[in-house]
Amino acid sequence: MPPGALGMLILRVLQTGPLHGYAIAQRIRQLSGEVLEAEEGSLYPALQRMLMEGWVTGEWGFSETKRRVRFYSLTKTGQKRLKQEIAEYEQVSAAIQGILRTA
Amino acid sequence: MKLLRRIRYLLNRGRLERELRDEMSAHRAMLATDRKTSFGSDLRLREESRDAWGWNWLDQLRQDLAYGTRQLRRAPGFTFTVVSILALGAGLNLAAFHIFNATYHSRISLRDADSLLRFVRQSRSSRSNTFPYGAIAFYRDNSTVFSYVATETSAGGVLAEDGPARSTFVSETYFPDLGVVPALGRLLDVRDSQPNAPPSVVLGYRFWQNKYGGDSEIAGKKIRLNDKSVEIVGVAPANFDGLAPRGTALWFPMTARPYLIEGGYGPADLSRADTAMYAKLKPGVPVAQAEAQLGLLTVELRNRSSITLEGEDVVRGESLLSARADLGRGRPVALLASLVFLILLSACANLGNVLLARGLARQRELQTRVAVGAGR
Repeated sequence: MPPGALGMLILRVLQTGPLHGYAIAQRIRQLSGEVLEAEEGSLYPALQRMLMEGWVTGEWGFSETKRRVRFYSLTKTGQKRLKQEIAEYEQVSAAIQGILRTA
Repeated sequence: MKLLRRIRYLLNRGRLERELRDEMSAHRAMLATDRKTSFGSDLRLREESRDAWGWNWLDQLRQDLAYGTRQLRRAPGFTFTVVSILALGAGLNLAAFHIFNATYHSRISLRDADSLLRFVRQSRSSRSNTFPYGAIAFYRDNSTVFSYVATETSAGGVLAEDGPARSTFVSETYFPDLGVVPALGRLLDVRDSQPNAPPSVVLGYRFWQNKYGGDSEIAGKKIRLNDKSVEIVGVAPANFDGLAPRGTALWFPMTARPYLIEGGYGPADLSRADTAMYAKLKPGVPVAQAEAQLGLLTVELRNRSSITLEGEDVVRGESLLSARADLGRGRPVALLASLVFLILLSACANLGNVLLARGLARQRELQTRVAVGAGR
């Protein structure tokens, strides 16, 4: 996974509703057709950083398997941040594709 | 907002860390049911996640401090050496600073110390701190900007009973104007400058202590200076050594010069530039105005042609305190700075050596730490 993409993907999958850590990893894997893997080792540091930045909030609840887990949900600032990151990503991605096509 | 969150995280660290651990172990448990990927070291991971809270440096600092204290306690000899090196380095520097401070920054304790000005003559090529006494008298009598003018004329060549003594001649109202309070008897005032006044002298405090053993009956006694009889009227206080400190032993009124010094220049002599001029401006008068007026007076003085002030001279006023601070600039400061620097350098080099030796001794421990993946 390219550096920096993890944060954007986490924010994106949270846009549809609150998820706990394990579900976030799963969702990313499924949606990417098992290509992208949110490694657990980088998922939790990233989530902690987002909590600190105020992009997501955490709330304790119970998972489908009745485990106590923390559900993360997107905040207003998180929404804004996501938009910004997507815009940046698209710009860079378009630029890279431009080079690949012409060079 | 972020700062507040950060502080809240610091305060609730214990609970938050437990939560993080629970969350991660739940994740791990769910993972076990569908596939096995390495989660990595649990502790390491928690540390990395906690890094986002921004307080890991605090933990590390605490660990380092605890470790350092333990190491120092375990090696008292080493601790003693290091502390003495540091104490010696710091102490020597402190001593050097105090010597410097006492020598060059003796604070002047005068009522008007902050507002007193020293006047200097400046031309394109030269600068002089002294004026002919007559010129100063002319300025004083014809200007409107001064509260008072005080002058000091240093003169060698006054012989006390056992050798030359450093002498300063001062203007009539020098002591009263400056508000100096005598240590004993009285100080010089207008009386001593009357034409038929008996010759009088005020002793410098240190001179009084050294030569007369601080004799409290000294006021009113007559001594012989330059083979002339002079009456001691009092003693200057310990904290006063003139506006330009030079260790004055004897203070005379300006008018006593012809009497004391054979062929000496009288106060009326306008030609020799040997007198320093100090003044306090009237309230609200800017220095520039005083300088302008002195400039006009200088031109007038030149027209009377009895005084030789060089053609391009401009009279400038500068703060007495900064003028005194100037004494400390230049060579002595450079000397002192390099001394202090050398002391510090040798202290640091010593310390560096000792620490290097310690570091070599720790090599084994560090290797072990690396091997087991512990922090360094």
